[in-house]
Amino acid sequence: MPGKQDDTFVIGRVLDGDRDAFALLLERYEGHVSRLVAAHVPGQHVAEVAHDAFIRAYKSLAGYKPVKPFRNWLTTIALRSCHDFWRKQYRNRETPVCDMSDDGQQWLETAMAPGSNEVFESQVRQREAREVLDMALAHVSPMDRMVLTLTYLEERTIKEAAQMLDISVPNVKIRAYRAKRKLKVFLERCGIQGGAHEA
Amino acid sequence: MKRKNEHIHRLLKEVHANRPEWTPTPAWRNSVMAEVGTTNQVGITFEFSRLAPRLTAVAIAATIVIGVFATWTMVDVSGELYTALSNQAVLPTLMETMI
Repeated sequence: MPGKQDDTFVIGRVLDGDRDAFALLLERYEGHVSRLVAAHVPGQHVAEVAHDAFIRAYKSLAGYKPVKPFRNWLTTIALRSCHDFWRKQYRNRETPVCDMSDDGQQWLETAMAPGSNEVFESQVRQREAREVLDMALAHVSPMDRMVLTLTYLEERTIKEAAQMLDISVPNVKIRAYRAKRKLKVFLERCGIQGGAHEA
Repeated sequence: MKRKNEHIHRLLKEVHANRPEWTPTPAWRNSVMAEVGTTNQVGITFEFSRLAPRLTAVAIAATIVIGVFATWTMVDVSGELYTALSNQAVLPTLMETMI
């Protein structure tokens, strides 16, 4: 038996009924999943969504095929949990045109002013800046939001995003293009000419 | 315009990168393991369930309509075949009678 049991061996143990062995997978990947989830959902919901991701992984563990690393498989599950979180949120939302708070509007104006590089260095106005970004992302569908976050904000390749989300490359391309256009329209409505560039 | 676009892109990227991190706590780990202890594995997820609910409903409806149409067509075709074969059988008999 190897010193550090590999994922496939641990998965085998879990599937054989040793539920406690799942703690090994949890320990190994909790950091990865929590970082991933924290990048996609608001801070107060990260614990709940990460929890959901691990439970989903446990439930569908029998469906895992070791043709790709367990980490990648878990990444797709975690992102799907984030996607489902946004789907639930969007069902109950009221769509605002551009009703960000005065703080958010003020941040946007300051940030767009010439020589505004020090705005971020100060870290003082992160809350307002995040509000602007969240408002902008709220204008695209949950899946487009996931694609936009991965390709535009994290600058992952189309292929990488497709693998992470388990959707096709053309699908990612279309969604990325559509989401950037919506983002551009939103920023223009808020008085920012230019917006997201097509790429 | 291009510079402005790049500026916005950079700003949004920085905001995204500065999202607060979250570190799993022992209480969180225990809650996950407690749920694992009471949850049953369901095996391979049915592919259809991954589709959007509305798309799934439309796909099921379309399948039912196509199925009904195909059944109706097959019943009709079999009726046509029966008539054609009956005619073929009746025709020689009529001709024999006429001769």
